[in-house]
Amino acid sequence: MDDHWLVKECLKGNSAAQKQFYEQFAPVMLAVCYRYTKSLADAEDVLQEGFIKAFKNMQQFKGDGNLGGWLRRIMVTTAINFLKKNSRYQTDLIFGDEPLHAVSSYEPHVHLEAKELAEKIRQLPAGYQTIFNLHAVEGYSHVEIGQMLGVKESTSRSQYARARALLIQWIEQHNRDVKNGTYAR
Amino acid sequence: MQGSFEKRVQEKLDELRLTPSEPVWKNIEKELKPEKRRRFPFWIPFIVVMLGGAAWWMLESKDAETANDATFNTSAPGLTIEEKNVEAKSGQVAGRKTVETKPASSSSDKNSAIANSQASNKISTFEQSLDLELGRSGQTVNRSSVAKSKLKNTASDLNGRGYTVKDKSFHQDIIRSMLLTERAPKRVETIPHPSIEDSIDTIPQQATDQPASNTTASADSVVKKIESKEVLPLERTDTVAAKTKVAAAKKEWQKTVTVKGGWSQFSDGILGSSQRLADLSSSPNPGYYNGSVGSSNPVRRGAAFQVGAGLSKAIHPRWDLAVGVQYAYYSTHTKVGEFKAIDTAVFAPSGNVSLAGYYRNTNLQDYTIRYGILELPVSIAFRPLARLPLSLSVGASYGRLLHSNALQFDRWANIYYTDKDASKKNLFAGFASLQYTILNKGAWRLQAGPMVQYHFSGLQKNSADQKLFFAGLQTAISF
Repeated sequence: MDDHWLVKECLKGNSAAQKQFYEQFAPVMLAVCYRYTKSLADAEDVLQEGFIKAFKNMQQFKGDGNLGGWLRRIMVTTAINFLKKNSRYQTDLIFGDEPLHAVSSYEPHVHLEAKELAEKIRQLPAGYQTIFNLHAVEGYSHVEIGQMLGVKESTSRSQYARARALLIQWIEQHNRDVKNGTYAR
Repeated sequence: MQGSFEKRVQEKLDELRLTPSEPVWKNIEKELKPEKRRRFPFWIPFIVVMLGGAAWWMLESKDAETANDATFNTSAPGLTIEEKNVEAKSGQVAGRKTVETKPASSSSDKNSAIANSQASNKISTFEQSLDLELGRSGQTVNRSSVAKSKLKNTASDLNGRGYTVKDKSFHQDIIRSMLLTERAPKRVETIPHPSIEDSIDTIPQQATDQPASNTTASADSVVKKIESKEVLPLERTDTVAAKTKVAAAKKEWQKTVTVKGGWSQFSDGILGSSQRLADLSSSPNPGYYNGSVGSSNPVRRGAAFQVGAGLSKAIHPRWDLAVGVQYAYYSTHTKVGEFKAIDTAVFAPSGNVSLAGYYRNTNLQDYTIRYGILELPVSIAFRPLARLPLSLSVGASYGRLLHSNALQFDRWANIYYTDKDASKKNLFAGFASLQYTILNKGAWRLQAGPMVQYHFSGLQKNSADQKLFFAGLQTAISF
């Protein structure tokens, strides 16, 4: 289905088109929201708010890019705002000026299923989780992350390095458990 | 720069698909097609004020029209016709009936008032019927010339005693005093019209109840009019008795209808600035505590109004006392998440509270907290300057909470919930207002001005915080 037609119909207020838009993108977008939050309920809250924003600001989609990418950016921004507003995440999002932590060049194999990997990322402290998602998955630079979260670029780098190291540690542990046959799904 | 690890993570996560639960789309759909929200009907106090104003205006217009109809124009050409000529002409009408008035022996005030009222009606009928009959008989006599002629004489007499004709009722009063204070028994000739016969038959009978020779009868009648504020004494009131009676009339209870509109807000003290819901949770609920505590969202001010009625009385030339009853509506706004209809329990100071559901503290939407309170205010008003129509009023009120959808906040569970038992039922408040008298016509008085009210009692049983503050404009009509 043509994205432009879908957007045009959504702008007209065509409820069938709106539902189609939602059904087309909701599973992917929920997965995005899921990675930024600590519970599925919170993820659904972000998804809901993100879709409402998207429908209300659909005229801003110029059609020169990918509709899914545009929607994804809305979801990520909504998730960041949600984390900032929600008291459960606020304390973890206060970053101090920590010494720079070098990024390890070690890159293990990732044998985890997608859901398992997402769960590992969600187990990271909220600050690490957010910065890892923004940099490693969404591809934002540390300068952009610094602007989004209101932290220094160096802080973002340091936090990312720690998050990456912790995640690799967990993935390696998982790999060892699988190898030793001690991993239970 | 991203390495192969990041790329592998991206690829893995791009495969992830999660299916949202059904309510998500329903909530989105609801948001896209918002139902017409039930807002506070701001127009109600406005309409009440407008209707009150319209009613007052109509009453005033009616009075003015009546006064115009009853204008006593001493320069009217019709008054040049002498009464005796009219009597002579009207005597040509066949079938006349003669009734003789009799001197009155004695009467009580009550009987006098009844007699005055009845006589007033008869006189009015008499005037109309006389006009009709003069027309039928082909006479060219100016209408009501007889009555006017009599009025002229009597009014001159009353003017000499310090009264001025103000309206039709006074006009009739003069006629009454004229009839009741005739120097001697007089023959009143009537016209053979059935209704006139009936009417005139009774006039002398009523008159017999009056002390015809008592020259103060008409003055008493006038004083009664003044007491009931139908006429106003102008330049002077001669008698001490009249002054005393007027003063007494001013000390009567006046009815008052009051409408106040404005905004309300929470406060943790008169000068407090905390505008959040009080957190009454005493300990974490193991079922919900996830290691962090939440904070309630800011509370914004909302619409408020008070509508009531009462009585006021002058207890001193510059002091008025007022009591009343009023319905007060207060509201504030905050933001809460969606409602989850899930049975749960929270730990409150009063013990465990079982809930049929709660509001999350995420994905926030507007929520209006409403209070409906029946209040009994008592106030005292002071006019600092006699010539300035400005009064300062202070008072206190007792209130009984009638209904509320007030929210409680549990920081441990980070949720909002409603618990009727957590709200105080009895509320005490103090208030002050500055009232400017916009209109003061006879018995009617319209006042308006700013007012503030502060509830000394907190709204929650287990917290001294969260007190209501109300500020707005007050309009009062007294009559």
